[in-house]
Amino acid sequence: MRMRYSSLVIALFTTVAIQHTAIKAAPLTVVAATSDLAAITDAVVQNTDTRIMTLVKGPVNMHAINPRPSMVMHVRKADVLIRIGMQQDSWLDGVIQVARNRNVMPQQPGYLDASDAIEPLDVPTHSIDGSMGDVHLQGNPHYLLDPRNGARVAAAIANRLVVLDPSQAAVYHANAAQFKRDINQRYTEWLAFRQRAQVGVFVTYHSTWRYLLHAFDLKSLGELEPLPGIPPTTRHLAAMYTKAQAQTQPVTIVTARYYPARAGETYSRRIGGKAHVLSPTVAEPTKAGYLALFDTLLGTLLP
Amino acid sequence: MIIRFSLGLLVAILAATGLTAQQKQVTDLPDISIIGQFNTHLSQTEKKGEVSEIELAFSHYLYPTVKADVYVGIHKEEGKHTLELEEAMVNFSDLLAVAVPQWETAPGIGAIVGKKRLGIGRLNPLHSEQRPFIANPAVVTHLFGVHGLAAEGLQLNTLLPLPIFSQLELGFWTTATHEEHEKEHKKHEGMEYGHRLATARLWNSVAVSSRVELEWGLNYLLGNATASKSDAKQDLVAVDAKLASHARGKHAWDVQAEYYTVTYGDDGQKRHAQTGAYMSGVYGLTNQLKMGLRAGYLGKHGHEGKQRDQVSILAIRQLTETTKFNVQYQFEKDKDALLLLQFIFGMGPHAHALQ
Repeated sequence: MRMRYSSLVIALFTTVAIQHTAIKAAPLTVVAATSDLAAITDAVVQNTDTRIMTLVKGPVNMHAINPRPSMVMHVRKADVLIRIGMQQDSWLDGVIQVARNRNVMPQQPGYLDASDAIEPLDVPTHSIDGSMGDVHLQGNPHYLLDPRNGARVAAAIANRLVVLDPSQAAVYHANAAQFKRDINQRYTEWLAFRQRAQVGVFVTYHSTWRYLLHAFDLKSLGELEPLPGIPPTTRHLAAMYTKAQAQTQPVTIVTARYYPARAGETYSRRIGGKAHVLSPTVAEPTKAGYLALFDTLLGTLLP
Repeated sequence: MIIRFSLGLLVAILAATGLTAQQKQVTDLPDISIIGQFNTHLSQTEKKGEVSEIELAFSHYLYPTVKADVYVGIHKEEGKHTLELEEAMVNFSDLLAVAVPQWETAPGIGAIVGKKRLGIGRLNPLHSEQRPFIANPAVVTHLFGVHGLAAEGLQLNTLLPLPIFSQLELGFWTTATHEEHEKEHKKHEGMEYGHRLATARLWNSVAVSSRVELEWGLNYLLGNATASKSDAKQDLVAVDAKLASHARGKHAWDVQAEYYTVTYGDDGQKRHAQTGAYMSGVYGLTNQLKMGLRAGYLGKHGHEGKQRDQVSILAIRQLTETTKFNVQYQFEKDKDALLLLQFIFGMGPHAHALQ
């Protein structure tokens, strides 16, 4: 009888120990709202068993996302959810609510608003309303188009993963630090490339490229949209034409792939400039993909 | 209860909203938004244009996983503005996280308590500004009324442990009995729901491809659930499906269909069956312009009445995320063709739950 109890206790202890080990060993699942965030996360989790899932893949206008139940299935499994924030992915709130995953509810360690890690541009300094177009209260949300912000977000992701998975803390920190070094090195190279290039001025369809232009000290004449989110009007295009005519440098028009290309192409023909339709999003959600995004953008825009 | 709409009340709320934005202070005020609808209704027998609805929405987190939502609608009914509490509910995203916070591995059960549009089918839970078409199809209007069927009670939601999205929703309700509701049912002579209601919906979804998702729902509603005579009860069974591309805007599309079969008796008479269905499709020609087509029918109730067949064409011109023009042209057999024009605007951080 005593033997039987001992066996039972040993069996129970073993089961608990195995379960504990299994829980500790279970890899983290990170759900990133976009491919860009997934790419930066990839840089942080190199050489770990942390898994990454992406909700919105490829270049998509984030305002045009329909939240879907299949997103709920991803968020439900998440240990960490990383979002763009700044009202750019407000559709995610409904997904979080339905997923009922305590790990990633707001205020929980598994909930990370990446915009908290950066200094936003174009933050309104006075009250806003629809007469100003679709102005974001917290500033321009396309912040990952400044590579230095990518490094800042990587550090924030590492800090959060360390809390949830302390056993791999050193790896996360080392990866984030290496990513920062890589970004800094490439940033220096990109700046040197920018200095050598024949740099003109830029007209963008929407303020999507604000951070890219800011990071590389590129001059913007303005947007084809008269106001954020408002399609180009004849009067505004005429005003932009006059502005372009006054330039002595070449004018390049840049449109994000998910916006209508025709307005930029027509405008470029009129002013004799070049028009580019580019993806502001990584082609591959990997560390290399994030660095390659800037190679592609700068290689195209700075001939 | 009908309350005369006070313009002063609206002005006061608008002023308060504007003040909040201007003050730029850190506050714990609820998110307040206002959604307005201007409708023009043109047919051979009726021509009218009016501010048909102003909806005030208040939303606020009470606790990390507990959110309160209140929707107050000001409708124009027979020339008078009436104030109606459309929905007022507390949404517990995770009921057990609140009740037993230490129970880390508790199954996620959501709960909604209060007055809510019943989660039956795809259209009834939607507020009018969320609907794909201006006017709902005949079967939905007949079964749930022009403004939709709302009731007071409790709904429990849980995600089933399946590899696909599958959420079970069970509700227990008491019908709202205010004059507006009764009058509405008398007016459209549709199905009347008595006393206690029980609802069940199994909402499923699977990703067909990286860009397309298929959702389907199985729905059941038992009306007058506590009645002793079976003839006094109403049974509604519905199946709905939606196949949609992910993004909105250019080339975005969706196809949606619902089929209803109901069994009920008029004024305590013997129960008869009635069926109805619709199918609709919407396609984005550009980022701002969408076109839609819908066909549907409402069958006879037993041997009474005539079958109604409807076809609608829709055009949507989206100005911003919350502002749009809609035009719907509706044909119905043995009825005047109907042209509906609608302008919807939204102010404030309005966001509806995923549904």
